[in-house]
Amino acid sequence: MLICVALFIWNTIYMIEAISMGSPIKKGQVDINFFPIVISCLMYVVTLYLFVHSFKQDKEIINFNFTKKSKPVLIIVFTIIYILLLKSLGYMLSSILYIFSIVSIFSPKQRSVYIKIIYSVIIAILIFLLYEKIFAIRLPKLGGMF
Amino acid sequence: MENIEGILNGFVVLSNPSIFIYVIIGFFIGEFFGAMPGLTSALAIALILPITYSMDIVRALVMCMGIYMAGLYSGSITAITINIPGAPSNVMTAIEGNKLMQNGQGAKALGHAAFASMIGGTIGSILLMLIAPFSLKLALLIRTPGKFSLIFFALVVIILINRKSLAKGAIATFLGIMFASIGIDLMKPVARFTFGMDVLVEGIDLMAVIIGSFAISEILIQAEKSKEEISIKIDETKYKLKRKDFTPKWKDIKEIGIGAYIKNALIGFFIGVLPGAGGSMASFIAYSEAIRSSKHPEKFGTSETVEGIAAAEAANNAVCGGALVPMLTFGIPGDATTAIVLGVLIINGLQPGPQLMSTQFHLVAPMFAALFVSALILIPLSIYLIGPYFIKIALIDRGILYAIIATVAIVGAYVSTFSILQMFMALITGVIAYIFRKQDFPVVCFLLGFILGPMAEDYLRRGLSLGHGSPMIFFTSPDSIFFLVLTAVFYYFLIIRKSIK
Repeated sequence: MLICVALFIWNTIYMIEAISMGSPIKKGQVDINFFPIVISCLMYVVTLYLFVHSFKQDKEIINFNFTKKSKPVLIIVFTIIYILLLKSLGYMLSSILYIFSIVSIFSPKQRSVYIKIIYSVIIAILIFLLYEKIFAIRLPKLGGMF
Repeated sequence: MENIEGILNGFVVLSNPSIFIYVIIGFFIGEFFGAMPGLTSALAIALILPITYSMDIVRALVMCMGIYMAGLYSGSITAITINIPGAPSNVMTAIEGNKLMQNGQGAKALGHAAFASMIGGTIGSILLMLIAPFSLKLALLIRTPGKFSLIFFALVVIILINRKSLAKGAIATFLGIMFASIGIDLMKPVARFTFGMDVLVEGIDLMAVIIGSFAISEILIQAEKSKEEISIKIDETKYKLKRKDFTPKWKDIKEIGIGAYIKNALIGFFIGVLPGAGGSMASFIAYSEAIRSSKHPEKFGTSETVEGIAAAEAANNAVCGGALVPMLTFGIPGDATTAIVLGVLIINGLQPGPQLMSTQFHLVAPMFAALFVSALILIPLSIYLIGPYFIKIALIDRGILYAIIATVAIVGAYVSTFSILQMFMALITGVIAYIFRKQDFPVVCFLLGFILGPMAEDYLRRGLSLGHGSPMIFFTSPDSIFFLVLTAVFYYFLIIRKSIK
């Protein structure tokens, strides 16, 4: 149901943007917003149908497991940081930190911190070699080195 | 004659060791990704997609074919050995496969799965070589209004095939179309749907959508699982697989019947041709058909028969050939993997469709050859080479594996676009795909909507322009009428007739 509300909001923003482009038919020809308006109208119909349908069926209590959801949220946060740091910090350093964080999220107690750091460094180097040496694709580097 | 020569040339190109090695590399990548529960061949191609920028297109395409064929086959490995299908298309294989494994006949089940995959994959690729030139001739006859109706037909089928919930399929498809509309308009040099943000003028790259929907969403899904769920512990000594047991016995093959292999391959091939229907539907239908036509339907679900395994595996590998037909001739992908292969073509500046097939057949023919060779030679070869070690695949450390996938995905999004925006788009699409998957919305519909949406809009506007603004052009041009009638026929069979039943 929540997803229907989110889709409804998105669709409304999309529709407003489409309508703001002016008339969908100009001089007897369809304009750039004609097709998007059609799709947006269809989206309203289907979202409403799904909303009503899920409203009828949704009898189960929403069981939101925060500890289960915390890992995906952490991954999203670390990925945002990684994307922001990749260019300024260079591939090597940012990737080591990113890989370390992902390995730690997936297996928090399985290995010692040192082992995880070693793994992170090895993986980062292997991916670097794959891109730079085998496929000759340039990665962002800190001070032109790594 | 010209086509036969073209296809034979494809085999000649493939015989060059510097190209053939890419089929082998692709095959083993596909085998690994297919066998790992949660990872699919679509994800493997999504991850190598950015690398294909710097690769020769023929090498990139033959590698994709190796991945595709191996991915559909190798899901059976973990389905049989540990009862966790490596890919959704191998769910049916696990039914009897794992029972045979428990009975100490794991090698027999794996052998039959590989044999059926080999037959299915080979027949599928032969049919592709035979049918693609004819469908190309058909494609050349279709004019603009007909092209719109064809894409309309494809979009309707994609939604209808999603039998669990048509509404969810439709929403995912529409959202894909909406995402594709962001950026510069198709026909006029003006930006649209930028929501007041200048950065959105560049639009959303297909690469970002592919990486997000397949790689990032998978990492998020796996992160939710507990440590016990993702780490598998098996007593290896209990289930020893011996090479000599992999060879299927003639008695068993005769019992299944050569005709049954061919029938299941045909089922798989034609399901592959349908947009949005992939290996899982093919194996499900073939398995149901095998029960219906079997002399001993009571044996299904037990370790006494391999008929079910043969049906499901022959069908899902035949999908490869079928799914490539509409992708190459019309630019309409048959399933998720071919949608990504389409991405490989597009980012390398090739537009799938009649033009590609008629003027650049020399680039496509090695693909056909690679698919054929992967099925006929590499599947049986791989089972004898690495079959005894199959069980170890499931024991790989998932934390490290997912860290590699996440890094390759993000770095891949960067190197293919050099744009921070596209990296964020990959992440946003990944989060949307993750939520969709949690809520049973089909992600493949989102991807296909993203690919087909702009095509539909383009042909709609061109068609209306040709008809001086009147939509009647779609109801008067014969090719358009044909696809509209076809849409109605599919609607009747998939919805109306089903609900009457």
